[in-house]
Amino acid sequence: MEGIAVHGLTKRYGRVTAVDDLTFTLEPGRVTGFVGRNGAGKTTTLRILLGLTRATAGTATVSGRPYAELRDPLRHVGALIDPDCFHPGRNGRNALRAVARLGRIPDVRVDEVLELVDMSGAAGRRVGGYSLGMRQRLALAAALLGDPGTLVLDEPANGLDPDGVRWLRSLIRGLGEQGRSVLVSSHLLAELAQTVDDVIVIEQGRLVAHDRITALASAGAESLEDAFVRLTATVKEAS
Amino acid sequence: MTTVISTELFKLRTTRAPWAVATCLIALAAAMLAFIGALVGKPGQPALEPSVLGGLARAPGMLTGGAALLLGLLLSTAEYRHATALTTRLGHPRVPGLVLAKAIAAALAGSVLALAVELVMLGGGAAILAGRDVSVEPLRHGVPAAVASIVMVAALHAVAGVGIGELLRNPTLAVGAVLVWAFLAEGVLPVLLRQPNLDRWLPTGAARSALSLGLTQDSALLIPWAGLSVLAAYAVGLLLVGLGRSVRTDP
Repeated sequence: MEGIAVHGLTKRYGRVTAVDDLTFTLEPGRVTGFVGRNGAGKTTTLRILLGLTRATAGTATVSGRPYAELRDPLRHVGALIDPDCFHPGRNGRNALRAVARLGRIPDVRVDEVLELVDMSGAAGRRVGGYSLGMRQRLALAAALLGDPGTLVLDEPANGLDPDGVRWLRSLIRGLGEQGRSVLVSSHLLAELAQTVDDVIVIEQGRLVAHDRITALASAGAESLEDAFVRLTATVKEAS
Repeated sequence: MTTVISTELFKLRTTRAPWAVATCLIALAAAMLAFIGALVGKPGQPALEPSVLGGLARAPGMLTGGAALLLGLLLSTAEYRHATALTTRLGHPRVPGLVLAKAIAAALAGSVLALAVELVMLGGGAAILAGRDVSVEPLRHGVPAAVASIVMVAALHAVAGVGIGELLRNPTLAVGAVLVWAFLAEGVLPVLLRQPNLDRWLPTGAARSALSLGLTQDSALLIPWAGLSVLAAYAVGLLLVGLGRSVRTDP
């Protein structure tokens, strides 16, 4: 089963606690929004989940295993953490080929994902000449290379123009409809509200809420933004 | 492991910096060849005879080692400079295997670089000798030993480069540290420690010793195989230190 499970996750940097005893499980085949203020611990949680940062305590698993123990991880999890993760001197196609080779993914899939993110025309150009939106699309293509059952996307709408945001929304919805689990962190709450089934809210590294978006936003009477402010206000006041 | 090695070689092939290093090295080797070719046989210079080929084969040894070291440095530091370490770790999260594959890829690339340089030196040298009616004897005068030693020294330098790159992560810092070590520390240390024979045990001395394979033993150097072993110890040591940092630190 392709699913994400985080249990008692804690990460401390010296005296600063970035993630504090965080626990949640994602249902397979659903799109889940991961929201929180800057520094709330979203990226740290995602990095731990992807084996890029070590947890101080607790576990984060995909399909029941820590990321580092997955065989051919790119075929299980597709991740977008930073659009600036390609060598600027390499062209787009070769940047993806380098990722594909590492994951034992055939080159033909590179052209498929380039087509999917509408980057085929720019694939022969060096990444250094790409706009932020193009690099974001390329990073999304890299995440989709292994045709994974789980996707972890950190701020995927950054740098995209309005057309790009609309395209991303339909892409993420489509991925969810195909039965993939998608965990997407974003600051664009209004945008996220149109995309996700469930929402996880964290504040100061702690879980504040995890529910269906319809339940969180008072059955449509309240926007996700208002719900977020209401839910996190208690934690903020307590600190 | 072969998948990761071939990916690392692909990364080297698809950026300009390694090609620039190789082009500069081959241009320098060609200039060296032209310079030696112009001098040899002149009064006060070595005679133009078949053994010249052995000298030509050995001439770019340290230079090739330096270029291979740079190649290894580039392979590892570029990952951090351009944040490609992120996608690399996502594709292959097991860091020790990744660093080992990088070292093997760098060693292979360093060996190819050394062979290309030797092709220039021996091909050009053979043309110079043949052009002046001197017999060309590529299997004598220590030529095979010179080629073998340069390939091994280049491979070990490339491995050391990966280790230094993983340790320091910043290309400017890494190149600076190597230059300070090679041109300052190695000269100063034997004096400071009052051990004049220490230099043969330091990386440059060990490399010079290894490159003397097939020559009459020089008392200022270690025997070639000892030199090669010391150089290998430095390369493996640096790789382990670099690996230690990579395992402990986030990409």
